[in-house]
Amino acid sequence: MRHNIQPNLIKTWTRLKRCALFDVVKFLIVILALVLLTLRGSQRLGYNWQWYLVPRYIFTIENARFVPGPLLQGIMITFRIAGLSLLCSCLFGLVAALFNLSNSLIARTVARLYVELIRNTPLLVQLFFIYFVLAPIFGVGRLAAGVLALSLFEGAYAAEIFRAGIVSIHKGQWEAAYSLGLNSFDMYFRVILPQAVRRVLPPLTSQAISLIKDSALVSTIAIYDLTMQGQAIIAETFLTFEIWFTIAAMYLLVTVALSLVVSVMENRLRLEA
Amino acid sequence: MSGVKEQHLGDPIILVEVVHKTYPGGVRALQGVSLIVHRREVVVVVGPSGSGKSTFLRCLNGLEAIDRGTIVIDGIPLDDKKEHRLEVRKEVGMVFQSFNLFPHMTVMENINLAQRRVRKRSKKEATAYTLELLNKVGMAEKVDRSQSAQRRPATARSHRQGSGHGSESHAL
Repeated sequence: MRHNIQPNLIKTWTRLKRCALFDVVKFLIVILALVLLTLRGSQRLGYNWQWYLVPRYIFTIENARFVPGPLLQGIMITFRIAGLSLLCSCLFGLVAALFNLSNSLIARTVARLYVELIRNTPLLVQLFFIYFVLAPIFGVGRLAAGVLALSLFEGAYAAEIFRAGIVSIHKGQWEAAYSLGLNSFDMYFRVILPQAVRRVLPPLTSQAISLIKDSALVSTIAIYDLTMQGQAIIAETFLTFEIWFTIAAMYLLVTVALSLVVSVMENRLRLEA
Repeated sequence: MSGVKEQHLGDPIILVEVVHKTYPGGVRALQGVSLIVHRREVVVVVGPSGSGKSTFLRCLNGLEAIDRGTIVIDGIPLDDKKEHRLEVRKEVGMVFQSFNLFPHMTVMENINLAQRRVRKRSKKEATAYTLELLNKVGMAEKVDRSQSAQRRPATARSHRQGSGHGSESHAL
C-alpha cells in the first residue's frame, strides 16, 4: 500500500506547486511576516505613529468639494517640472548624440565636453550654479532654472543612450539608406532613429524614472514640489516618518505608472524582425 | 562587339576607368578595373567569392571610396563631392546580399520611402507605382506585411525610382 501512496503524494505535491493559488498564498505569508516585523520594529522604535493625520495633507473634502492638499499640489509641480525636463532632456540628448557621431571635429568636441562635464559633476552643484549664477544673468525664474538644470543633467545620460542605440543599428541599414539616395536628415529620421529609439526604450525609461526622483532636488531652490511640500509639513507637524513614507509612496506610484506605460508601448512597437 | 549590336545598345552610361581599391586591412580588392556599360545592356559580373564583385558594385554607387581611377555614371563623376554621390544614388538601384529592408516599415512603406523623399512623389503616385512594381514581382497582396526579408520586395525597392532609363544595377 505504502509504495502506491507515495508516488501519488508526490504527484499531488507537484500539481499543487504549479498552481497559481499556491504562489499567492506564499506571497501573502511573506507579506504578513514583513508587516509583523515592521509593526514590532516600529513599536520598539518608541515613535508615536499618527497615520490618521496624513490624509488631510493629501486632500480634504470641504462642502462636498474635493480640495487638493499640499502634497497633491506638490506632485502637480513635480509633474510639470519632470514632464518639461523629460522633453528637453530628450532633445538635448538627441542633439548631443548626433553631434557626437558627426564628422565635424568641433561638434564632436562640444558634445564630448558637455557629456563629460555634466556626468562627472553633482546635479546639486549644477542646480545651484544655474540658479544663483546663470539665472540672474539671463533673468529666468526659478522654475525655468530647475527645468534647465534637470534637462541638462539627464540629457547627458540620454545622449549616451541614444548614441549606443544609433551605433547598434546594422551597417546594412545605413548602406540601404545611402543607396536609395536619402539625405542625412531622412536617413536619420526615417530609417535609423525609428529603429534606434525602439531599442533604447528600456534604458530611456530608467533615465526618465531617475529624472522624476532627481526632480526632488529642486526643493533646494525653494520650488514647492512634492518634496518641498513634505518638508514644510514636517517642519510644522513633526510627522517625519509618516510624511516621508507617504511621499515615497507617491513617487513610487508615479514611476510605476510610467514603467507600465512604457512596457505597453514597447509591446506595441516591438519589431518582428 | 559587332557594329549592329552597338547600334542596338545605345550610348555608354557607366564608364569605369582603371579603378583601384585597397581595404584598410591591406586587402587589394580591385586592381585596374575598367568597364563600359551601354544603355539597355545587361551585364553579369561573375567570379569566385572574394574576387571583388561586391566591392566593385559598392563602388558604383559610392558606398566604397575608390583609391585611384574614375567612375562616371550618366555623366556624373563619382568623386568626393557629396552632391554627386546623392545624384548618382538617385538613379542607381541596388539589391543587397542580405536585402537590408527596413524592419520598422511595411513592404509598402519600404518601397514608397525613396519615391516620396528622393523623387518627391505624392503619396498617391508613389503607392500606385509601388503596387505596379509589387504586381510585377507577384506579391501585391503582401503590401502590408511588416517583414518579409525576401529578395522580391528588395528588388522592387531598388526599382522605386521609376524606370526612366535602365541604369539600375543589381548585386544579386
